[in-house]
Amino acid sequence: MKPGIDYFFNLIINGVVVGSIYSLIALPIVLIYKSSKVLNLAQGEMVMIGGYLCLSIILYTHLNFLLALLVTMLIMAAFGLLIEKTVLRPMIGESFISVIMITLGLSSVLRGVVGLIWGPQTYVYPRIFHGLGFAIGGIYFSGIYVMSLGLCLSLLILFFVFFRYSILGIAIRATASDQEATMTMGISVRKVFAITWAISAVVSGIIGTLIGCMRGLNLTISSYGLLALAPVILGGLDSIGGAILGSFIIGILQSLAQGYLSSFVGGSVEDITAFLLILLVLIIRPYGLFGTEEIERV
Amino acid sequence: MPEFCGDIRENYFQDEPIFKTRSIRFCVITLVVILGLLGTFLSEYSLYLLVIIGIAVIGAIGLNFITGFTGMISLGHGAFIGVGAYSAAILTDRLGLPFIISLPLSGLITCCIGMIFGLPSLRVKGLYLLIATMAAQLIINFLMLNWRSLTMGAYGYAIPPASILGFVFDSDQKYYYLVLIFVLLSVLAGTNIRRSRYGRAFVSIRDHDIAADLVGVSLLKYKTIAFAIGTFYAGIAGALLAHHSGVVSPEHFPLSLSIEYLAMIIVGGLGSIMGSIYGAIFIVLLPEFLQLLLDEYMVELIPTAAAFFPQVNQILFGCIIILFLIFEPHGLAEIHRRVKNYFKLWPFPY
Amino acid sequence: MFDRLLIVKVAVVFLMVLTFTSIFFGLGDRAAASENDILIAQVGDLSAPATSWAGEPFAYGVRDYFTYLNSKGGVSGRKVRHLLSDGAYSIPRETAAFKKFSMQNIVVFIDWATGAALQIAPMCAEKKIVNFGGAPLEILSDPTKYPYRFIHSATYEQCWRAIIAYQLQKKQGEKQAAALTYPDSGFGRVNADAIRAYLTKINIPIVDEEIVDFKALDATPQMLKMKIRSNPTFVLNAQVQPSISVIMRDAEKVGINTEKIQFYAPLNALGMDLPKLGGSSVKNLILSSPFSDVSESDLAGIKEIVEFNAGKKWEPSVWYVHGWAAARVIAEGLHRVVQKGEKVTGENLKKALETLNDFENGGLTSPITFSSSNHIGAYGVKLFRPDFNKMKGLEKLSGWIFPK
Repeated sequence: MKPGIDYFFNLIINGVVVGSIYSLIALPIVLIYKSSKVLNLAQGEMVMIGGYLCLSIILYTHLNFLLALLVTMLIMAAFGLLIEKTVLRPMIGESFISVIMITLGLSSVLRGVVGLIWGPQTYVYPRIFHGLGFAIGGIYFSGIYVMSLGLCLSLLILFFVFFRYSILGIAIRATASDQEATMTMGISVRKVFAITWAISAVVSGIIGTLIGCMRGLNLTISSYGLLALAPVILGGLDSIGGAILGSFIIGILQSLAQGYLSSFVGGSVEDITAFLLILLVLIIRPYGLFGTEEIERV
Repeated sequence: MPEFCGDIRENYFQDEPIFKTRSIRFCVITLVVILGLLGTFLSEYSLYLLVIIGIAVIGAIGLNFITGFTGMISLGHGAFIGVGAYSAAILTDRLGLPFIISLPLSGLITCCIGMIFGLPSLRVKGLYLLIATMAAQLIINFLMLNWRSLTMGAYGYAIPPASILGFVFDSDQKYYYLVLIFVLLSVLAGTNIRRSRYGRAFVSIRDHDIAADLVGVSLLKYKTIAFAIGTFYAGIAGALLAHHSGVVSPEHFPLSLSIEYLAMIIVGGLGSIMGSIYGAIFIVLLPEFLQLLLDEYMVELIPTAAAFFPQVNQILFGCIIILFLIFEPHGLAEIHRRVKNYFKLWPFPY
Repeated sequence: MFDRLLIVKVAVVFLMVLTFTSIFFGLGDRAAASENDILIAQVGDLSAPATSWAGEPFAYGVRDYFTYLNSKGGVSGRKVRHLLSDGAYSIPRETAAFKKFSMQNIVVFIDWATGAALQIAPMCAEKKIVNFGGAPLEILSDPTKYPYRFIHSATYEQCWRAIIAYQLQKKQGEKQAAALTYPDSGFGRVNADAIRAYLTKINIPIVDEEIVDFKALDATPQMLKMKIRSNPTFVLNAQVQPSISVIMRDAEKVGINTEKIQFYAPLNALGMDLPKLGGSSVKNLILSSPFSDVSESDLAGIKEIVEFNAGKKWEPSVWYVHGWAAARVIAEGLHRVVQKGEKVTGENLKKALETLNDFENGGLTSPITFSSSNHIGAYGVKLFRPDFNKMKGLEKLSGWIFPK
């Protein structure tokens, strides 16, 4: 294959992988927003904690990878519940600015705590998926890429089924659309919030571990949280499908931009493409591709 | 006319002045005099801190207009301050304009650029505006770093110190007085805007924007004006900052700066000029205080305590925000107000 | 009507006000322990994510040397007090630390980040404070522009020249084409500009340039582009230890043959953990350094370091050597000032340093010579490879090279 086409496909693959990472970070954000209208700006930090936690478990208890991941998920669930109870509960009913700022405050605290416990150096996961890669023609598929894509798809299907068919999923959707009505139906809205945060924390844990395996861990991982806002906006804040589609679109666009434009612009183009796209979306279609338009009543 | 006991107004005209009674006027003048005297005997480092605080106050007042009064959350304030700084640098260095002209011009330039990014805010609200301003912050950061022909990129842009009519402000002490004047002007202007129809319009947009629209407050016009005022203040703050540090570089204006300013107005009090002042003082001094603690006192206990500074700083910063939001969402200004009210009736308990 | 918590809140605020005012009235400024002490201040990088693995040992290297010196009698009986603050690789913070320290009676100020050095060097000239730093940059070496700045080793630029000379010699006869990676920061741009200038001068084309940030965890797109769209014979990387590991790992991942295409990195990528961070992909990396490495235990300076750190839990690295070497040079200057009977001031120290001629410096750098017209102390550069036998640190590849 010609080098030009090779390059293009490699970029696409890279973009798809990056997109799958974004989608798994965007998913909890949308989840929390859907149920409680809170935009969790501390999502990146939660992802980071998940990654560090799993690594520490692997290094200190020598459990095998899957068991360590399971333990991480349990701890993260508890962590999510804790955060919801201490930080978010007092904010119910407060103004929108307060809620956003408290998640920003939380992100600051979490970053500091991680830095304090684990220090500023880069950590590397043991090589679990090494050697599972393969190449077709000039296109490289490394093992971990396949893993992440597979994981992403399975989680997405899981969530789709969950929200459509399970009682808890329906309860969450109900809370999202009308809290008061849900309460009159006898569903404990508080429990729904708590469970939503727990689920988000668990997903963050998984994706943090995945990022750690793919790239290594350091304190900058938390910036993924802000980057993941781009697909969330693109797809619409309360649409899970939209967030996922948006993630892949942005991942691919970023990869292509980086691949073709960086020599002209001379800087790292990735982050900018995402945010330029956001601005564009906000001007043309603020509620995103699939979001529901908010109708306000006076 | 009978003399009344206490503080009584008889018509709206009497209620309007900023300094309502003679005693308030006296207090304010004393305060200004004290601030002036401070400049003569405080150490250079303290004056340096006061300059930083002063600049932060101006920036915070600006952000308060956008977010506190009008309810539009902006995560782009740090970038706008940066635009002000770079404008000052380019105007003074490339175009050779004197400080007196380049300062307000920087404010205006920032204002214009602020409007460009502010336009999306008119269509969207709340969350979406937050993201739009965050996007603005990151895009402006990118331009600062990569539009090298304009901004000198990562090297940073060096500018000479400010000078008015030949008098050069090259020491922290001299600069202190300059900044003090600007702070007083900003606070005065800010208070005046607040109590004018513009201020009332802003607050009405924050509280019930659809109702405001129905009553005749043009959302488009007043939101734009609020953003303009806020970014103008940011531009002035940035220009003052530029002349103070002598160098502007993209690293001075990251997203965390925007978050710091938001913290200032939250801690200080949304929608209050005094709040901006309190908040600015608090947030600027907090890391200094922590540094002091770690460097001087903890070094005995834990030799590498100094290395923990950034992490502990972040934790402290986050905790302060969280604690204030949970326990005192209206900020320090609210505490001030309540204490003041308590003393109004003192020593009577009722 | 009356909020119970209000009293608590007011009390808290009052306490804070008290503590804040203490900052202004300098209650924390401890005076120098004794009149005789010599004050040296440093702003280090103790906590930034991608650079503190180098910044920390550098700062401690300086600090420990002075502790060592004081234990052996100090400077003719006078002790040296070392003040350290963390700049976290942030230019505003390093500058603020300078402003704070410069109010005390310091004789030397040591900075770290390239960007900060550019700002601090002129300020030191103004305040007549001798200025050393973690960034040996040729652009800071002009004594007419920065009269108080001294560079105690070969510069970044010389490291690059040594590398390029080595490549040309190793692959004599083959046509060379260079590729370049660097971060988008002060450090990156300064190095990139220097490399471009030199390569243009000796007529080697640059076929690709990539931006890879210090903190990057993934360089796959950049390496892909390098592989598919260009054909370099060697790659120069102005990177740090974590980022060069990422680059080489991703280079291998996309199929770049690192044996044929030689990757080089300067001083900044040197570290103890290269084999661990990069795995086998780092095997073919060659690094250049103006300093000797801790593994060279036959050198006098290294012996001092080993002696001082015996029994301590941590292992010094080449950055520690960097700091130790700087402190050694400063100490020599201080000795000369005191021996002449002069007062220890920045100005006198500057003059004393300018008298150093072929000063051995314990073998940590090539012999140091300063003069009033030259503030670059040394020209020697050594080459190293990551040590895969010990899975830690570096092994020596060459002795002192003196590039032209």
